[in-house]
Amino acid sequence: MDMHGKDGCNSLKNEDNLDYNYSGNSSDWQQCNPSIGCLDSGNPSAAVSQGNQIGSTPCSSISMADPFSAGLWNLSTESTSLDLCKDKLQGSSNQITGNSMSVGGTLLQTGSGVLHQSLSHFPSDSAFIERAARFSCFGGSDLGGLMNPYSAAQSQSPHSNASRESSGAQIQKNEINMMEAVRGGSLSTTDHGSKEKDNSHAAGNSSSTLPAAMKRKRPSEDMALDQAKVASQISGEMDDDNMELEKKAEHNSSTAATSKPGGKQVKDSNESSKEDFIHIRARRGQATNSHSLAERVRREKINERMKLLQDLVPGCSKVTGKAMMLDEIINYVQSLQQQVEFLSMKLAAINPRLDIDIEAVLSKYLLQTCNGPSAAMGSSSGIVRPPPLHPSQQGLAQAGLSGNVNLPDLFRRSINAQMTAPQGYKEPKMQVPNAWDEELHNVMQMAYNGTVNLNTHRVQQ
Amino acid sequence: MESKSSTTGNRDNPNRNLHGSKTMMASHFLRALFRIQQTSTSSSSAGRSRRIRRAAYASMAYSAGTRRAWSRALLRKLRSRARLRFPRRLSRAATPQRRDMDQAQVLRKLVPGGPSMDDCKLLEETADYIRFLTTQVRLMQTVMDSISS
Repeated sequence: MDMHGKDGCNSLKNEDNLDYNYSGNSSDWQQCNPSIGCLDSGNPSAAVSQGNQIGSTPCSSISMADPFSAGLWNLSTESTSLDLCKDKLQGSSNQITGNSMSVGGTLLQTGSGVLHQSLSHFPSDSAFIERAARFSCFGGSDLGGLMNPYSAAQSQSPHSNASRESSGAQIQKNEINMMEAVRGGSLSTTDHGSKEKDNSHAAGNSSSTLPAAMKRKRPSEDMALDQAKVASQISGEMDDDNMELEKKAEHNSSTAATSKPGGKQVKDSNESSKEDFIHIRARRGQATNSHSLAERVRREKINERMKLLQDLVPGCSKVTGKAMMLDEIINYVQSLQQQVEFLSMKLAAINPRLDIDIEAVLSKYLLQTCNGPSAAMGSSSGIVRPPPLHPSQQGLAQAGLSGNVNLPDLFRRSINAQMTAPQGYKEPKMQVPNAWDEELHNVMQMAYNGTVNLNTHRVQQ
Repeated sequence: MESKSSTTGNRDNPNRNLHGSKTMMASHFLRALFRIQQTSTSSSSAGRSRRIRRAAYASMAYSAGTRRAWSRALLRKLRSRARLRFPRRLSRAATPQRRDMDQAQVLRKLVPGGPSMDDCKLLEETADYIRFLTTQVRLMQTVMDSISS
């Protein structure tokens, strides 16, 4: 929705390209990476070719980066910082292409400084640290430079995901997010040749020492799929296409996985196309079966979400098992929706006495948020109000918001004032509050007066 | 609700956002209530209740913004002026043999924007949706209590 307007070249058009390229065209990637066996299968090469085609046209390349980066940023639920991040990502992509990408480690290092800014918006920054730590085990000193920028990022955004997931999952998320940024950068480049050489180079000499580097390149093409998925998801209007993409991804990845049983790298890259931005490196002593790894990651994600839901839904803590909990969740959502209907019916029935509503909200919020910005209230009480309400409302606001409220008195005063006041208050204007943390006093004034722009002081929450 | 201000939840940010959006939700809902009261004093109670219900979901969606998929889907539904239909019948989910298979499907029908999500995102959106739903229900209950007291 928001993303479409930003691009000169339609993101819609690019997503159409994704669909078309699925049929598995030959591509530069395919030719230059003979060592990567899985390129023979349809899906990864399709994604790669799509990336190539998109990268070849400068206009669409930049616009391609935008929905992807937009998708990425939306993942971090920061739609307001979209422009900022987009600029950063484009800047970082230029830098990345400028540097030679021999091995994944050096690539990351050179881009790390720039990536840091853009990546600080990613939600799983703390997971990055863990992955950077893992990298340092594999790649030696080159990746040590990664540690510093991300350690700063870790302190900025503590994310509970990192604590909950296993380190393996952290590695996966880190790699995926890192590769998203790299991919976003690489997409805007036309320098595919060097990248392909690096792929083969990396594959050739680092099969045992740096398999991670290989994997970084491989799933990036698959992530083009995922990014397109995300972009289309975000747009909202592409729901059908999104379903197609997902189905195709699932189908193709499963066929690819079954056709290439050999080679850990191939399996891992194939399974990465199954999931959302997850790239897995098999740990020592663990099953390297692609299916089990993929399922393990999915399970962990779902378990984490279920824990969240368990906290939200009352009475769910003693219920164990996914099925039972899902039942509880479904029942709870249904009951909440029924409650909304029931309450709306009751509200409709006793509608005429709505003038007392404000005090309800006032009391509710006063109980909960006892911030006392009385200064703001004093200044804004000068706004025009029905005269009989003036003194009582002012006293109400100040007394209420100073924190120590005598509720019955509050109600009595307000209700008395309202009973004497004429019923001719203006209808409140239709305006959405600008500030998220508007004071309750604004609520009252808006409801009573229907005025104006209340530029009250920003109240700390 | 008091706990939302403090950090008893798992994450800080959603709680903080919810607190800010509580005020927005309340103001939006109250204004809608006023408008409904003034413009439809003669119409039937059923029509008014439909409008109030719509206003409740609208204030939920507006306060949630466009960050979540469910709120975007809800806003879309509201803007297209379609009738808000929500599956309320409990009997649909009750068949035991279909229970395990269709749970995700049932949940997708309940949460707005559900059909276009994969399982993981569905759970995430469900959690957020439940948060806002509980806030809305409490808001309406408070309004009810104050009116009837």
